[in-house]
Amino acid sequence: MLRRMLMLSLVGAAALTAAPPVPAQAQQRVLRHDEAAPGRLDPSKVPDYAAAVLTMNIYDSLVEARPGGGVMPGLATSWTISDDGKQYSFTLRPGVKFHHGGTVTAEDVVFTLDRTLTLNAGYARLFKGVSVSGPEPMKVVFTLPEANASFLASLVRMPIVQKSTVMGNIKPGGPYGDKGDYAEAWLAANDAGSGAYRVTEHNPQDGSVLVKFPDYFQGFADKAPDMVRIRYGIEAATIRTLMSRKEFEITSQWIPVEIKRALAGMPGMKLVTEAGISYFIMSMNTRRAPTDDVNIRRAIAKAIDYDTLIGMTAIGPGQPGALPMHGALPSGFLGYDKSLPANARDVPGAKAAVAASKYAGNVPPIELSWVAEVPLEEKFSLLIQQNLAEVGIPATIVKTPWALLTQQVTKPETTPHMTQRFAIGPYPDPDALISQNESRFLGTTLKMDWFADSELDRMIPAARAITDEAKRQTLYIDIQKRLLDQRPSLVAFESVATFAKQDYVTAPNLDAPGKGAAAIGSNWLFRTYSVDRTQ
Amino acid sequence: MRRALHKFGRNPLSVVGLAIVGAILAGALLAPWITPYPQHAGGFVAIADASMPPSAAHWFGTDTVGRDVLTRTVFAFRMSLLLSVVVLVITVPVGVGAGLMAGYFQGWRETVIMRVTDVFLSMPPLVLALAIMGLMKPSLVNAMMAVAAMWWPWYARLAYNVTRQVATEGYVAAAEVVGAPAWHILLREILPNCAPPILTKVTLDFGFVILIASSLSFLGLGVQPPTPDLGSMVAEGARYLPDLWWLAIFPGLAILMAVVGFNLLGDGINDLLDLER
Amino acid sequence: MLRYLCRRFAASLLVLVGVSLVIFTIARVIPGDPARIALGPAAEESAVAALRAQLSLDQPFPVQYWRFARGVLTGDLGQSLYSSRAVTTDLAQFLPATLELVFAATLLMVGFGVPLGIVAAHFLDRWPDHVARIVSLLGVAAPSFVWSIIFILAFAYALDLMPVIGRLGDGTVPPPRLTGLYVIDAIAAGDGRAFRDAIWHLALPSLALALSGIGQASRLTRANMAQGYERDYIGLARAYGFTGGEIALKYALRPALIPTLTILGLDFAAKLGSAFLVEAVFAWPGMARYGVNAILAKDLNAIVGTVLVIGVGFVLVNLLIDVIVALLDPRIRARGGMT
Repeated sequence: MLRRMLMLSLVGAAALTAAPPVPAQAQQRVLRHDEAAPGRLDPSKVPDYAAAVLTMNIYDSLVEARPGGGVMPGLATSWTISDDGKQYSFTLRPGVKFHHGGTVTAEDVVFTLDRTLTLNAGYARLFKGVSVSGPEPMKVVFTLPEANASFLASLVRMPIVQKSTVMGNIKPGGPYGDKGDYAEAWLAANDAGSGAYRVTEHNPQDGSVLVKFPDYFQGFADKAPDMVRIRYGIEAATIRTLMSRKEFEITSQWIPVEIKRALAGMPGMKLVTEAGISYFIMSMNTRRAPTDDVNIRRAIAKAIDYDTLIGMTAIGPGQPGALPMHGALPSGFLGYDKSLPANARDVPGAKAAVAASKYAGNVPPIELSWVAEVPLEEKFSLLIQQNLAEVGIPATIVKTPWALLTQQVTKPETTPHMTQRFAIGPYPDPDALISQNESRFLGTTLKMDWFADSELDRMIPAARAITDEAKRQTLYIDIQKRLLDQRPSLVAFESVATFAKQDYVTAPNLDAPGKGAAAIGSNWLFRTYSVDRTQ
Repeated sequence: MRRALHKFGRNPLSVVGLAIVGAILAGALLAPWITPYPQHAGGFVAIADASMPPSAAHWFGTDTVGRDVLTRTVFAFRMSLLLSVVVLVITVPVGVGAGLMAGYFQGWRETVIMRVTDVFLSMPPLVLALAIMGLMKPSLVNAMMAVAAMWWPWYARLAYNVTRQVATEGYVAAAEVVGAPAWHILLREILPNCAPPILTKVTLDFGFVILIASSLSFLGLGVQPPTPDLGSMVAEGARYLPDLWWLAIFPGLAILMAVVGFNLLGDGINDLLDLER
Repeated sequence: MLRYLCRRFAASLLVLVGVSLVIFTIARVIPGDPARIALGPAAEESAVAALRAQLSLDQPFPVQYWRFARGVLTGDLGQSLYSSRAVTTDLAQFLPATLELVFAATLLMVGFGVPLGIVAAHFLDRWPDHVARIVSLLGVAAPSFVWSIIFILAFAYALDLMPVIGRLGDGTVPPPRLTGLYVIDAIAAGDGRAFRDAIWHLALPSLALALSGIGQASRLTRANMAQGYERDYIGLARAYGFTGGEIALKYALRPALIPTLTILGLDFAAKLGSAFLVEAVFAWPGMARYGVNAILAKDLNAIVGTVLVIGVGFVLVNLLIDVIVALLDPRIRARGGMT
């Protein structure tokens, strides 16, 4: 009997190893990619990288982010701006087809803005107070509460939904009166767009399947993928294995540097980058000792070993993960100025600044917080702790889950002295990042420095109000000078997002550094990619 | 007693177990003096030496910021042992006590104890850990409380079901007939006969507590970086497999060594108890 | 027995009410404002307040619980902020995958762990015992997700033998849904290819998940059998000429299985929630991962829903184990009034 039981378990083991693997035979051109979870599909919901990639491919907006910077026509073929900068009139492109039939008209644009403002989530804040009318079927006019030069660029973040499809899928009894749930439930798993791809499967934690929409108005690259499969939240070791087996085409930027390095060394693979739109910023709490003293903040800025910090992100020689920073704007934005002083280590200067502070000789320890979900920040923290110790600023490292951080930053007393964050520009206008220094964002993770400065609160809206680019450039440089002087935060480097991809895939905006568009997701237009496994 | 010691000494495996446990304890206590780079146990960065494979200078290699893995592994025993010992010292008596009572008395006491156990079991460790972080300042003591809170029901369930069986044995009935008090029966008749599975579970749990603690430090509760602990070293090192294999393998082997040591020792103690019975 | 079962079912309902109350409270203690996390830092305070009101978070605790309990009675666990869908929809989609994985792991724990323990006890302190010890303790030396990574690297990366992600290959059509467990549905549909493919995809994740349990099962079985061998009646049986194998199974194994079963039962239910890292490595679309994401995003309804499912798992498994223990030994039934 004992022997029989043992035999049975052995037979069981044999049965497990006997089944042959099923070959995955792909007739179509497939592009497989991963992203951080959750990927949200509803274009009016939370903005994150995965959601941006989805909406950019499924939906169209009036204007699109132009590779190399600025915007270009999308659903709108042309536009005019009134002299006072408050009225934007767009002429729509005729005959653009929606996935569910019908064409894009002014009615859909009017409806989209109403839905965005009613749900009041995601990027709704950008369009607050804006009203819209459709005087003609192919003409829309936006009226702004005040002049806003960033409005045109921010339209990149207003994907147009089809009114009839959304209204046909409303669940009654929701919080929006006669609009029911405004199709929140339906749009969480389905699309109502006109983009190059339509969604056939979507699950925010598992994955999405996008399929080519052949009637798309801008057409496709010759060998554009017929199907795109995105998976969310897979481990790096898994992706590495899939890539080596050629069961995966292009990775996200979130896998660790070491894995990217290993992938770069494999035959048939290449690293591509997206630069110019994001940075790594450390905020310093200006309402707690000792970082309430500007001299301590200046000392911290001078103490950090930026070369080593940037070196930590490097994938290999000639493959930086970060670029030195001048001022407070990444290189892809208007207002970037290389003549602004670059971050540099200056130990004597840092020591002098500590000596000039009111805490000279007795600096209380600072909390150096890092986000538990981003392991790279632990390495940064260790280095910064060591750098600060050298200039006489004691620091303790605190690991904080994101949810806890969102709560801590609602009050100055609980906000850590130093916090770390990667930020990406959502639309191709400097206001997208610079406005995060306005005091209206106090108490959120966008502004963890508690620096309410009347100067900045005056300068930033002023720079937003004028349309003349040359004048704006000077104003943004002034704003950056103010930030560098008062040091509520420290933009440590411009980050370079790196992706590993198979050689048989081309991704135009990622393959050509410096040619990318300055908006999240805009370099991930799968219709411009090609997949050619025969090459 | 002398007979017991003699028997223990005669079983070479028990002696090996004792030796391993002794060596680990000694290593943990003497870590600052016996490790090659004691300063690497804390926040230390030497990017030039980062991610080096094992060599004469660094027997276990270096981690991704250039710290000596051997040093950190030896130091890691301190926190990991402290944590698992404290957690087990709290949970085993509480859990076993609850399980013994429920299994022996039955009736309403059984229902209350075992159903409360069910409620505790259902709480995911992550929720408990985050809730504790929301209420109190993250500290090692709080981390231990969190682990203990989710751990004791396992011992309660184990002791409960074993007690139900042992309580049917003739010697228990005999003791009841002669009018022995309940506590006497529980402690002298039932508990010793429940010991083997409980002891075995304890020796295994040295490993499990070390590992579960790492999932708490992932959230920022419990042992905090840069202080090393074995569970986190294995968990974080695994992300670099297979290229930087030494980051996860050596701490993993250290846990294995500890668990084998405790397991052998536990079996030896079991034999001793058997002799007493 | 029937009366016992009725009593236990009544008590189980109370347990679930208790679980829901406790998790309802604890989930609200987790740091962070769920509405703020869901809407992101750029959302306006008015929008956050509106969502808070929509979730009844501005109401006193008893009101919140009352609304929740009313929903549960109508089969409504509320919306998930994380997936923007009904929690019941999410659970219905993700639970079968986790169940399939955990069932498979449990089969492995029993199928490998118990025999390993029997062999070890049979050859106490001889080499098979030592080998069994090392094998079983390996599972305790590293968490299941580290084993997952090691397995993937060994069997899929280095050797190219096994599939890496998901429950089925891209070319395999899932069998018509009956239970949601692909292996069972494939058998029901008589679909040999889907069956093989499903087993093939299950092998590595379930083994990784089972390793720690295999170790526990084998060590516990060994310890109790070793103790059992020294009991008087076994000597008696031996004297009566029963063979070693018969003794092992009839007299040493039965009582020795009680602790093993108890722990395996707990392990099964615990894995419903703790399998998340294995699920993440193998891109397994399961509930454990959903639950952890919900916890980290403080998605209250999803947390409560997931924990309730885990609670049901523990309640059922513990009931089953307690009954099996009673069945193994008639004296337990008699003493516990379970006849």
